[in-house]
Amino acid sequence: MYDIKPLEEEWEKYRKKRSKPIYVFAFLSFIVLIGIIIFFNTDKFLADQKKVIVKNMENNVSSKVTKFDEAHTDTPKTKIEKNKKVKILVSNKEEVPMPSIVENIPILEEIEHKKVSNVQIEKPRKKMYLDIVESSSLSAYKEVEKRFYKSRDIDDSLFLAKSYYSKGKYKKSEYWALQTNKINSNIDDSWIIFAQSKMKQGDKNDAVSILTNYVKRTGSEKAKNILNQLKNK
Amino acid sequence: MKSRYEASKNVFIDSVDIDDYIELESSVAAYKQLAHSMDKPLKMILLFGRPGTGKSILLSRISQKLKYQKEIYYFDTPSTNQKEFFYKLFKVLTTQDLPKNTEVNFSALVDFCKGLRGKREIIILLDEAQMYGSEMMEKIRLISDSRTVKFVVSLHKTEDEDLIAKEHFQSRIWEVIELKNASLNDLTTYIHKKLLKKNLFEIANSIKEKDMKLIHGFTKGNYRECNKLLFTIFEICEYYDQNEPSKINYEHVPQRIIEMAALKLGYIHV
Repeated sequence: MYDIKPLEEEWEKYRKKRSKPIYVFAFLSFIVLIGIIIFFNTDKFLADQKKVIVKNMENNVSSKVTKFDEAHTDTPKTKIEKNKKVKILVSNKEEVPMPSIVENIPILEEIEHKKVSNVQIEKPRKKMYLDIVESSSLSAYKEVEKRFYKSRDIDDSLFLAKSYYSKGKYKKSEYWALQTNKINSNIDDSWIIFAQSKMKQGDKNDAVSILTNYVKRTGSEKAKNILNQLKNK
Repeated sequence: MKSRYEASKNVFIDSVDIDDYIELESSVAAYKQLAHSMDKPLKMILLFGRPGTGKSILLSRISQKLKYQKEIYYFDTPSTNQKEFFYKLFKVLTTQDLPKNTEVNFSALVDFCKGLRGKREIIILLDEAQMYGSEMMEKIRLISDSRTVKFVVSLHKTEDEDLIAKEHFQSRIWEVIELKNASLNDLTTYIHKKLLKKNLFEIANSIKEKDMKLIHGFTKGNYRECNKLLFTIFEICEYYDQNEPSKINYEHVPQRIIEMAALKLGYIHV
């Protein structure tokens, strides 16, 4: 056996060649794993984002309702001006302090000539809030509507109801609150928006009747308060 | 000092030695089938299989075993021309050498065979029959028609030869026995029995099940290829044993050495 050295060298090459696919597979697996982690984190991120938007809208609605009550003689334009100045401090469920968004979601007609530069973010690392502003664009709303028709997710419909209400689009907010109620008839916010939308469109009797029935059925304190406010108007 | 692997290496020198015959489940079955076919009043029997599947050793074994019971002749080397073949056949039939400067008259030979019908029953085992031309095979068939001489024709099974076997012998062959490559179990038994026959128990024990799978994968269960591979494996082991003992594990033949042998024989490539 005189050719053992070349044979050893050849085997070494063979071993390397054989292990190559293993390394490639390991590398690809790693990439896929990273991809999966990113994908799921994105999902979580989007879910968080949606929650933040909803929270934002809830705050917005309540602040607007209060403001509307205080100065219901304001024209829509002045409301828009006020809206622009409203600062909302958003916090997540764990009540961890979150950065505030300077600008509230603007009215659709105005958004086209407004610049994103109006948005001020206290902590730049929270990029997600830039996305929140974008979600208020017309296409973003359309996207949410489209998604709702596919998924029938009440988070989406309630979000739309609240958003449109805050923008003074009461017919739309009424429609989306109704969609939410059809799927789940036990959501206080949805019934309140529904009744308030009716009220804003001049149907006080309907609004009162709707909330009265709801309060009778569920005994909701929140709805009762709003009902009293409506009755006193 | 001799290496412990030298004897192991020599076990796998490829030969058609009847002493090296290893009884395996599959080979025993083929042997019985062939012996049974030879008892039947058949004129021609076709034994075929890929090279290295044990046709020659089977013919050799059966001729050895039955030589005292039957008039059996093993033509292990094919005749290059008709003259040589008929010379051999003449000797078998007449037990005499062909006189000098004479040739066998084929018609007379056939008549002679016919005259022996009922008196003698001769079996001729023709190994490597693919080397006989079609004219010769036709004459062999005519001789077999005399029903005095029975032929066991052993052929390599390749794409073309398979065709020859099918087309040429289809109407003439009465029984076909095919030898196949060994299964993993058969190959394991074959390797172990071969080593144990030479009292190389430790060496046999150093080839584990995983190694057998590797060997079977490389050789596809072909006995001749297996002999080649094992010979090379033990040749490498012998080198390490004598020159670099640190590179060898006496408890277990390293996979590296099996792969090196496979590389050397061209079963795998870089």
